[in-house]
Amino acid sequence: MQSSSARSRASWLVALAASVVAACASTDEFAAARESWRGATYDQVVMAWGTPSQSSVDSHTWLSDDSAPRVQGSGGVGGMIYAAARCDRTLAFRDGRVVDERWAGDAEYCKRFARRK
Amino acid sequence: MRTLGVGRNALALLAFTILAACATTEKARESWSGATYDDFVRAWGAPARSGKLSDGADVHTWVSDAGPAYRSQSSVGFGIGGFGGGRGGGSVGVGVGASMPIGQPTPAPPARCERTLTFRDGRLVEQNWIGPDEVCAEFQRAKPG
Repeated sequence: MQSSSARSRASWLVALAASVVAACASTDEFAAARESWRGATYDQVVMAWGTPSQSSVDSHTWLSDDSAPRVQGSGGVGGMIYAAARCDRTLAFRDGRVVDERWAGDAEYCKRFARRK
Repeated sequence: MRTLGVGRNALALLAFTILAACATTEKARESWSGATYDDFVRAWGAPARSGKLSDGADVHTWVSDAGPAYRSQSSVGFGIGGFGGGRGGGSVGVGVGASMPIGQPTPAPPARCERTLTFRDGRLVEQNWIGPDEVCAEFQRAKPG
């Protein structure tokens, strides 16, 4: 017969595995959102996000902030909280096309800025 | 089987909720199809950011924040019911129900909807809306009259 401590350990392992899978999925989606702009023209980015907040010779930065949902909790008790979120996207252009992208900020929020097909 | 019936209903409800949530921003976007820049300024005021594309098209961005709202919490319901039937008789049912909310309403945080629109010759040609559905849906074009 399975003891209650063994059952508790198993639940923790399942919760841990679920968190790792969720974190990996979120990271993958963040990378996919960031890379979705590779090869786009400056005009295509401006049509999606508007004019940049900062510009230099061959790179432009768009700054956005909002609140984003975050799941919080452990041991089977949890809930959704909202926290301030920021997403700074700097895109480098060569010959008028995105060749490099540096995104910093909340992964969940940044996913909103993926390129739409 | 009864369990399957309940599961099917729950799935249908979930699908309906997802469809309803997805439809809102899309509906708001579509309501502006064919509008002019002036129509937007009349509805939303001057844009927060403006620029030009290489082909001369104008790009304007409107940013709007929805204020904090209060959402009601889930509630607990109690019910009593009864039925009975004797030998050879039908059954009669009576039910009484009541429900009460748990705790205080939860504040929903302010959220933002950014709309970047591209115009050629003053007419809308492209739209990009970024933000939660419940906020962006509020920017649907008002029907005249």
